[in-house]
Amino acid sequence: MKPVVFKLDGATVTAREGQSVLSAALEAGVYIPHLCHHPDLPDAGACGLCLVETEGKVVSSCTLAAREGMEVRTKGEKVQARRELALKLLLAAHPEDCSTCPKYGKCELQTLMQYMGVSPEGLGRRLKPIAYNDQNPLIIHDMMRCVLCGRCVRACHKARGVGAIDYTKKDGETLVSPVKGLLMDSDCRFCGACVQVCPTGSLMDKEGQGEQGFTAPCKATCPAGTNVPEYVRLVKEGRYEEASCLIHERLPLPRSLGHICSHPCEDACRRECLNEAVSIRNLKLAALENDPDKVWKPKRKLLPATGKRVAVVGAGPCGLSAAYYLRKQGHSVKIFERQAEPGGMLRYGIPAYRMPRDVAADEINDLLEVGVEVAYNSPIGDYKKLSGEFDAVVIAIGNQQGVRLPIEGSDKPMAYVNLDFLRLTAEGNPPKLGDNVLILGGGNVAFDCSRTAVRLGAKQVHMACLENETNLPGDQEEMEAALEEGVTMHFGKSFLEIVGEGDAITGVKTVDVASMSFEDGRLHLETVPGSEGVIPCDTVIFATGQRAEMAPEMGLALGRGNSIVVDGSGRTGLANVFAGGDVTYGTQSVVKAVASGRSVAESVDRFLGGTGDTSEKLVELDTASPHIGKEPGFGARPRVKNGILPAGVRRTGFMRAEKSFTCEEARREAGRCLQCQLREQLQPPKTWTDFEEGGAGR
Amino acid sequence: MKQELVQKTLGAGLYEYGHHACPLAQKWEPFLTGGVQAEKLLVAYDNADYTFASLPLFTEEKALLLKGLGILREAFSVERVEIYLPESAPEEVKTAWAGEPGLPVVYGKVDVREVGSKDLLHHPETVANIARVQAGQEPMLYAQVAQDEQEKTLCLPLESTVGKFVKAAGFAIAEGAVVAGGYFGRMLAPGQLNQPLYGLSNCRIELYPGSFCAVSFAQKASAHAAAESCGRCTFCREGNYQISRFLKSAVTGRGAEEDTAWLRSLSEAVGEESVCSFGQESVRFLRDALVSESKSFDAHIKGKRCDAGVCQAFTDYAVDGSLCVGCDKCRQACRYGAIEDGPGFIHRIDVFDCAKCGECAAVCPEKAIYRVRVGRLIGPTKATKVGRFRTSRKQY
Repeated sequence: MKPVVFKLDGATVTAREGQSVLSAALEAGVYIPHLCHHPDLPDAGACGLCLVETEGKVVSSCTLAAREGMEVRTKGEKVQARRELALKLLLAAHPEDCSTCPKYGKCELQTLMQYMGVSPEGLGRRLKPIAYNDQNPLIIHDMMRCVLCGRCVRACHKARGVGAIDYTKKDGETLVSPVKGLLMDSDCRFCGACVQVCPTGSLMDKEGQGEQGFTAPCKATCPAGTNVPEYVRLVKEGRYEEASCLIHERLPLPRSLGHICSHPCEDACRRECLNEAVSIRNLKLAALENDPDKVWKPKRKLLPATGKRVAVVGAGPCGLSAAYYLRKQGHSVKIFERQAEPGGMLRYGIPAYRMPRDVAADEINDLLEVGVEVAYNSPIGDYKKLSGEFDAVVIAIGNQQGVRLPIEGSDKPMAYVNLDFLRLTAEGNPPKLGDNVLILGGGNVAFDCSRTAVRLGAKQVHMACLENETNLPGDQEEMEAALEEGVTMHFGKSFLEIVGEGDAITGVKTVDVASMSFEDGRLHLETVPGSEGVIPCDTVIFATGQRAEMAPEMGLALGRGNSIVVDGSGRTGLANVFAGGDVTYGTQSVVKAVASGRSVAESVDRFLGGTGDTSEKLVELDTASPHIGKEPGFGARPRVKNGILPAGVRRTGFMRAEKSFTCEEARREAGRCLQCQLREQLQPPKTWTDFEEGGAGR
Repeated sequence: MKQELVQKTLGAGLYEYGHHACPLAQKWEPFLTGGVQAEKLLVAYDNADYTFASLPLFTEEKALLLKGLGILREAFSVERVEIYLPESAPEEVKTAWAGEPGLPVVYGKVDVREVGSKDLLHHPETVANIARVQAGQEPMLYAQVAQDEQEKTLCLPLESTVGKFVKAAGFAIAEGAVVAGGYFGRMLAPGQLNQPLYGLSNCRIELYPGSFCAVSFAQKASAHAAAESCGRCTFCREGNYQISRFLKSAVTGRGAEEDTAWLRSLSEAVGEESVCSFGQESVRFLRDALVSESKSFDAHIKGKRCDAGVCQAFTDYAVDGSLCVGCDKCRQACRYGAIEDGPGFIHRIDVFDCAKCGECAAVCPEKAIYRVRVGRLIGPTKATKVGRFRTSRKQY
């Protein structure tokens, strides 16, 4: 394309063919005040602020195409007076109360007011009689503040191709509103582009945005920083291999996580405010299951050997992640694992009906094959000694010790603790159970125990927990599955004693909980006097938490629940000893553990003289099309449910209970994504403060 | 064939109708010699039009319009056509064009931002005249002539003057004012009607045979503009709102010295910066009047008076003491109890109670009640028997 050269206030400016004078001026570092112009939208010439003078006429520079040899003046009496008049007119119809506006300090109208120093004095002020509207999900319309720049309408129609909002007139006032009253009925796709481009406080997110601007919440919430919205898009487009590559850029063990991730992304998904969150975890699994050749593998980064040696203690999610990234940074890595096989909770904790063993083993092998050495059956007791033998040590032993409540009878032979029970079962040697098993606890580990007990043939399985049904710590789906499998729940019970003659257990004495709260991390419990009762059982499993197996004599500073005290980079008190995962912050999730392992690997890499940069590019992503188009009924599309085996079949063994999405289901579910990430493509508009010397408007 | 169609039309020297008036030869130039292939043919009234005087074209002369469309389609090899109709169009117009194959109808104003340089936009009057010329007929023009409650629509040869339309409609006007183009028109003295009705956004001719107040008319025009603006452009939307507000102050005696300057800068900005004919035309009357009727604006804003006696705020109803016969009809008709003194006495109107509804003037058999400038005395100040008050009758 031929460049166009023109004069701007006497200076030579080069524009692209078809480029507007305003856009060319801004690129050349000359500020011309503007409001309805947005760099990512077609121009409208509506606000009357970007006026310039050319050929004796005052015209909007946003809709004035640069022509060869033209002379444009951004200053001048008439231009200035007209611009000021335009701003005065806008301000006269805009509320005065900047200080109570949520957009205060980020409002473009406010910056223009400061820049041009005008007030609507002399004109008749009015408050538009348009009510604050929070009837729509996600988006607040406060159109009394609207200056009708029309950016939102252009974003919705032109940039997105949706057309859910438009101008309308009501009682003589022009306003922008959903074409059919409510956004849901107007086939809004809730992409948020309208909010993103709004210069004032008229269109706002209900949830608010971070100070750093908008990031898709699924991505922002993932502890590993997985690019969720983009892999969801790739799945929608059937590009599974690329999706798999993208996932592997941030996430080790992703397929295992596709089965058992606690999915904070889904909890943050904005679609939840419309109907149900996108089934992100299942989409991840679909991407990985449809990449059988693992095309990401040959592309992964492996830096040359550094000659440094690192010991990692524990081959669980955190240890494996740390070892993998340290090895890729060029260090020689050896893992010390107490058990006979790697995987930690993936192998010995989470039951096989949730976490298929072959899936975890295969993924772990992917990590180890970069050259990580593992010493199995090798418990470590003396970290100081180990730290002398290696350049650095990473402790990632997790929380392996189940908590046995200090109540009478808790040491009876048929009273087990969660992790021992699950590990023994995973090893193929389940402990002896009676006919009537009672699990104490209401978290996901408790459900793992109860559903395992069902599969081991217990005639009756009960669960009792402090919490009531609404604040249960475990997942809702877990409870539903457990109930289907015949588990009986007892809510709001505190445990007093395991009763029974001698070694035998006949029940657990309980008292009802009146209220419970956590203050400073400690449980405060009030019980109902006189509500004591006994839940009959012959076997008890404690599933009331787990802690780290650490002792003070190991030479490391310990915090709550025996956790290792570390600084922000994972350093312990010992110079070359680092720690990560559950052992540092208490029992959380696998996804947090792998993220923590990677983060510790980065710290160790820096400690050993590396850059600490473990990032890698496994796929060249194209840009998602911002033109998402119209889709009738989009807002109401229900979440696609993946299949699950009938409860009667599930009870009989440890085969996988849930089914993966078919490609068709995955495509359909991925199509429900609101594509919040498209907002990140929209540039922040420039204001006069972005330019060196004021601009033309003064 | 195409060439022939074009030549015949151009030979007639047709003009595009309305705000965008220009010779068709000029309008067609890019398509005929500039190498531009027309993408779409749009048929629409000016955005500034609100009278739609030529709507009969869409019913009574539908065949003519269809013929004109056919000629344009063939001449410019253009397939896509869009017909714009006003939302307020009568049902018979809407039904006449509903479901016409290949001729989708759009209701409302034209979004000029969506009209590209490859789109050919014509006024219905022009389309009709293209058909007429092709058939060897004389080009015509529809216009509306209105006075008080009466309104007539008629179709005369294109070159007809304002005066000719007025006459053809059966009206006559000797004094007062004529406004050609309605709210968005220009003001003519009764002696200036010998000019064609070109270059206006609409062909509405309004006759004001009695008194005419340009400020009051401009106020109504600006209120209309503020209400009807599509609202996308700052100057048109907010400018007309503010103009209407300043003029409201002027006609109600609340004007301030600096208001004239505001009106001048606002009306210039609205007229020059608006992107479509609506904004551009919306201030046409005011901009002219600020110059030609500047005395009237001064009288309203500074002098607090309306010399035409039109603006209610500056006038009171009063009983002429020399004409009143004390019949009591006005007193009985007044719903506000504002008239004092019973039968046999000269009636007097209490200006504080008077709502200026005009009912008394309407029922007075002697035509003794009329509007006068605020404060002017044409009757007695205290109870006076009929016949006891003598003064020369004075209007206003």
